[in-house]
Amino acid sequence: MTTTFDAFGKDPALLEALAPRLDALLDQWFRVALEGAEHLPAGGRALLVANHGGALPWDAVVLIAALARAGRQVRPLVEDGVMTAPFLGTFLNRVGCVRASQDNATRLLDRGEACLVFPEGMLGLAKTWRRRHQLQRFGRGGFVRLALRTDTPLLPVAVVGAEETAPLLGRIEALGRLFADGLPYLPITPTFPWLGPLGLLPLPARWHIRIGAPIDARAVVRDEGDAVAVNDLAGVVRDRIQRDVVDLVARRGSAWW
Amino acid sequence: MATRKRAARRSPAEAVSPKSGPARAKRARRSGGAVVAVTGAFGFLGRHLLRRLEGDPAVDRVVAVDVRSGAALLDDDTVAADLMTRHPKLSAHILDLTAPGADRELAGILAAEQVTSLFHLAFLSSPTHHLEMAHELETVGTHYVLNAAAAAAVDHVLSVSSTMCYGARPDNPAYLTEDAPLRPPPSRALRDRADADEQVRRFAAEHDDVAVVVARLGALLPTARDHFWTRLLSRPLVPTVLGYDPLLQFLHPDDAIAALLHLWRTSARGVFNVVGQGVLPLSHVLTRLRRLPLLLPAGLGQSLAATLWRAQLVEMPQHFFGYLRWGWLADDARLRATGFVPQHDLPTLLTILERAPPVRAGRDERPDVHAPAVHAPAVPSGGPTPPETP
Repeated sequence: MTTTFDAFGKDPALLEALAPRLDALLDQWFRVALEGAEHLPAGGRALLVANHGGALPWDAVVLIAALARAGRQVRPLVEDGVMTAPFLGTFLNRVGCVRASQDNATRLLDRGEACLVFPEGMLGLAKTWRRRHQLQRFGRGGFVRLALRTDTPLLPVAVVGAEETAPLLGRIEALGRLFADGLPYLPITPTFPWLGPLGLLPLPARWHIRIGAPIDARAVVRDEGDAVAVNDLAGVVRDRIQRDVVDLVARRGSAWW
Repeated sequence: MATRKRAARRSPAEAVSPKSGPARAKRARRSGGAVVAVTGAFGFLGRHLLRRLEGDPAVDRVVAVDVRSGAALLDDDTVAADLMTRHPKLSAHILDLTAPGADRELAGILAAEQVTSLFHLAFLSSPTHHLEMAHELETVGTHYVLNAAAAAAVDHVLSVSSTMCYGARPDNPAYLTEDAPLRPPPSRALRDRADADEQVRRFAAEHDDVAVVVARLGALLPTARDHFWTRLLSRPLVPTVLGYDPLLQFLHPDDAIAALLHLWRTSARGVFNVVGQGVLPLSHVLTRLRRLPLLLPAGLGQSLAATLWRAQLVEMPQHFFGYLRWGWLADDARLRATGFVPQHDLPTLLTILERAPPVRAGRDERPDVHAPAVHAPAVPSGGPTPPETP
């Protein structure tokens, strides 16, 4: 047996085995359209910043697969509530996700990897259908500080389709713990929990992804200790992604057909 | 191996920093090579270390300190009378570190033998139901050993600890560095070990003139059968937490000893994580060893484990369940920066363990430092052996 895992738990053999199915999922089910792949650096560290949504973090999986086809392996940094969930957290870890923390991100960037962060974190996943395509608060600027400290280019990534794939209709906080230790709430979608595990399957929404031009954080924020400037840049990145999201939603037309 | 050779050229006597002060003046009288004392000398790691020290030309004498009379443990057929002829460098002292006044007695031994370096290995290899004894040995025993080291003014103190002291937590970083806080679960076994770790670090802060090392060893594999991880992974059915599959790393005892000797020869100071090369998820470790996972939901598993532990039917406190659920990988970059590279990678370790027959759970395997059974090494030297009949 020659199975090798990378130091952060990614299982390349599993990814290889899943590739045909992921390709089918991306092409036939999600009909993913990717723009701006030319902005992806072929190698070396990069920090991709994306919006986050849907009852399940399908965006992490779709971005791994879509960007791998565009020539770059990315490591999504996923929030605790997801990474500590049974099965889900383990699966995401095997396909390349890592628990979001400054420490883990720094280690990955030092290895020359491309990290993908969702600064909205749980706020992004927890937003209900009514607020789809609206970016939530962008954390506390942690990703900007990370980029400044490690001198990593920031790439804004707009994703449309996650909310429609697993529309979050409501959350039942009281029942989260019943299903899994550490699950913050029980998500209610059109199919879950009504159809049981089948309800976790994704709806066939169309996905549009746009990678924006890289931003050199150090050119914008001179002093890492300037927390206001750090948050300003976080806001600028957020606004750019929000604008792209609105644009992609308009361009996509119907989410389903 | 190149690193070890390079390190060996600097004998400990040369490596010791320039001496000053009255304690140093006294020590300067000692001529020749090092005199090394080892506590817990006839334990599993201790016996490995003794053999390496005896073969080291830079070491003049080896002082073994243990609660056991170790003659029978050293070689298969050595009897006490034979000890001096077979082990000319070795002098053995029987000392119970849980006995009041052990510090005075140990200080006497260290002074009389003119010991320059002390390896503190007197720790339990596995959690035990003898909680009081464990506490007396690990926490109070370490207190006595450090008192004695200070009184006898040794130059080097190297103590082992465990990377399990960091605790397995959902919010751990993927790799824990030596600066990470120790957050062991509320299990007496690990609290005692973490306390010993802290005592040694405090001792280091208070004694500038002593090169103090805390070597936090990863899960040792393969070891004697009564060690925690070997025993756990030797069972045909291994408990796991449903839906969780943490990455694990293991350390070969030879690498542990080599790291300790390397840190001693280079007069290193501070805390060092010592782990093997490579990581694998628990599920793949089990597949590789052809063990079946006993999938337990987190809550149920924990309460079941607690009940079994209280009933003294299992050797795993329920808090150890966390180590099969959350990550607790340690980063050994600091040790590698000193030029040390572990020689055994994880697949090799598993190949070695694969050959060991599984052991059945039974009360007779309980570790007991006061009446230790002599365990054959878990690793048969050549080829697969038939499983033992219970």
